[in-house]
Amino acid sequence: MWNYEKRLQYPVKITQTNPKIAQVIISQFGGPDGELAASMRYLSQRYTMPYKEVTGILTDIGTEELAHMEMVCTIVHQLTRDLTPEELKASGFDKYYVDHTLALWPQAAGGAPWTATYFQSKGDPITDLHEDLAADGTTA
Amino acid sequence: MPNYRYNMPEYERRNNCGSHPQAALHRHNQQSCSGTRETIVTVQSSCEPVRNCCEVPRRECREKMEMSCAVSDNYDALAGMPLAMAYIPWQKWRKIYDAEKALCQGTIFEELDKPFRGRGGVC
Amino acid sequence: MAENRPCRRDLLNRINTASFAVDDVKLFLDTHPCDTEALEYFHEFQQMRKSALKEYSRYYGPLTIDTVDVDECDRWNWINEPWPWQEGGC
Repeated sequence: MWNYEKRLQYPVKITQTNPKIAQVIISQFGGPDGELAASMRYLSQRYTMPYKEVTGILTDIGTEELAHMEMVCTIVHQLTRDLTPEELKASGFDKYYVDHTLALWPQAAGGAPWTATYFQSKGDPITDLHEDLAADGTTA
Repeated sequence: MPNYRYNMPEYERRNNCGSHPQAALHRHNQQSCSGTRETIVTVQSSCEPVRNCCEVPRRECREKMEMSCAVSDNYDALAGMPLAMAYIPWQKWRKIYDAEKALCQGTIFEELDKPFRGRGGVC
Repeated sequence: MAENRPCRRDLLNRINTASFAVDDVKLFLDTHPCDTEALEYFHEFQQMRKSALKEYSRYYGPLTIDTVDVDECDRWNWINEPWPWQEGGC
């Protein structure tokens, strides 16, 4: 199970808003190569790993990816603080705003919603480790 | 299609391919064979291009090189291993960054510090 | 209390640094459970992290549920300080 620490793994302090770049960075949250996909990949695969070392590392990396996800969401949140309608329209962020306002919702930069199809968890340890390698360069 | 042996300067470094980080043998138009400094001069005169079917053209050196490189057919660190598998070297505890630097770089392991350089995706 | 209040930013830097070291060595130890050097490294930074978290909680409010001290404070202060993504958050 999980505990929470009330801090980011690395501080994020953005002073200048930029909805245009936020639109791109959101992929690192809810996109195919984003932290949410990474976390779910490892946390899903760990149940069928036959070695405790591998189960351990998948659990710990999956947990850390959630912390990364939090940092990315913080970045997007700080980049989109208090935007005016003019800024929203000019940046293209209005398309996201109409459905989510300034809330964080896991999607890719192009608008595709996050989906479990962004990762694979097949139960064969070698297969799953290859999935991890391809996705992240991470391996046990 | 070139196999891993022709595309891994790191691999060659580890296998003591002389003082050059990259085996010249792997390059089409190199004039000399790699190897130790001592052999390069002598090897230059006796090297001739050899072209094997389906292989990257390479120069075969008649002189016996003191330290043989990956290009020779004799040496293969993965010889005897099962086919159709991917292999990963085992990580050792070494080259640990200072804690403050580690936080900045995103890893405590210098060997895993591989910043994204942009173009081409290769460091 | 007339004690010297440690700088919040310094304490937080200490927590972040020690915690990151613990995070990374933890992953290494998962696959190298008997590596004595790594175990020592873990121990060193775990101690640093624990004491920094405790000290932080004392002066600036808890960052973990385990450092919440309901004896010192007569209300639930976990929700008091800004959240990490907010202005003034960690």
